[in-house]
Amino acid sequence: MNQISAPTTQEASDELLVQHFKDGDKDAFETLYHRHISNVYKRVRYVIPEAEVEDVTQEVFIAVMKSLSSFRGDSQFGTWLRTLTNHKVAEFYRKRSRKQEPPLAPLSDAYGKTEGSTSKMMEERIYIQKALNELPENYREVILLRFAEDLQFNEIAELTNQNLEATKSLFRRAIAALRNQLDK
Amino acid sequence: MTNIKKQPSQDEQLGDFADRVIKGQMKNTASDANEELHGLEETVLRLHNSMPTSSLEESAKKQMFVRLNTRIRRENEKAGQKDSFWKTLFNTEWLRPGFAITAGMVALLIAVAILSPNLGSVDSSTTVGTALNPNSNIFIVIGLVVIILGILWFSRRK
Repeated sequence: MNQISAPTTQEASDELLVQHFKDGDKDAFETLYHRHISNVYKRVRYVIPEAEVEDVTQEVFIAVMKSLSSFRGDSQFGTWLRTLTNHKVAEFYRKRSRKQEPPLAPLSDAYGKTEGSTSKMMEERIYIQKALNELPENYREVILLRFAEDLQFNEIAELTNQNLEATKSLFRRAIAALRNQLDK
Repeated sequence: MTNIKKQPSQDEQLGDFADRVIKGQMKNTASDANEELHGLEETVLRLHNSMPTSSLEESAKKQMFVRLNTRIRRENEKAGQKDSFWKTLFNTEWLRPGFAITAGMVALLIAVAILSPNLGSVDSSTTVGTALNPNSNIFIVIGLVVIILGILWFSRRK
């Protein structure tokens, strides 16, 4: 009884929360936000310069809010959200290249103030981010699912409708492709 | 045949290695004997060590949500302003002061041409004492309109 009267509880599924949001319950969005912000943030932080991470994360959730009404539930909400996040990341780089900014902006621009001891690490991060962004989408995706979202290989296999062997094989090929990119 | 057997093994080994790296159980490469796998493990370590692993704190999530709401409100306000038909109409680039003045003058001249009793009529009583034929006044007005439109046209193309 209690569950029925409280539609936006933490236990409600994503799809149910989406339905509540469509019915005009704005709190449902907040619950969805708190449930998914960590993963979105971590995914964005893996591929976007630190100074822009919050901005891009915000844009993802603004896009979620705007397009929730058109979410039909053909795929899981999490999958839909990942696609939307990837789209916003791609949009960020498209806008950036349109502004004709150099692909590797100076550290001060990309990360704000950096300590002398960590600047090398920041530079390495930008270098790896660039390499990640140049990978084919399925390679980048398996790396992000394992490293950024910390999903186990069996969870990735389930999510991508593959068997475990195929998922690990994809992961190895993705790491090999990343290595090639980094060696370029 | 040998290659087919070797491949799944490398997949497994690299997957297990990545698992251990992520759990913090592995700081160095594990497969020194296999050069290819060794290189892949190096890449896994490099990726893991250079990327941030800390997760968002609850307070940070809440602050970000507040900032998100502020931004959504601001964007909604902006969108509301943009929707105003009159604002959009008068904000258009073509409607500059120069254009407005010229258009006003043209409208005034046309009004004078239409409403003036001296113009458009060939009644001889109205032409007594005037140097010009009334028809010539129409030509003057039309000439002025053409000149103004010409000026407007050339200034627009600059």
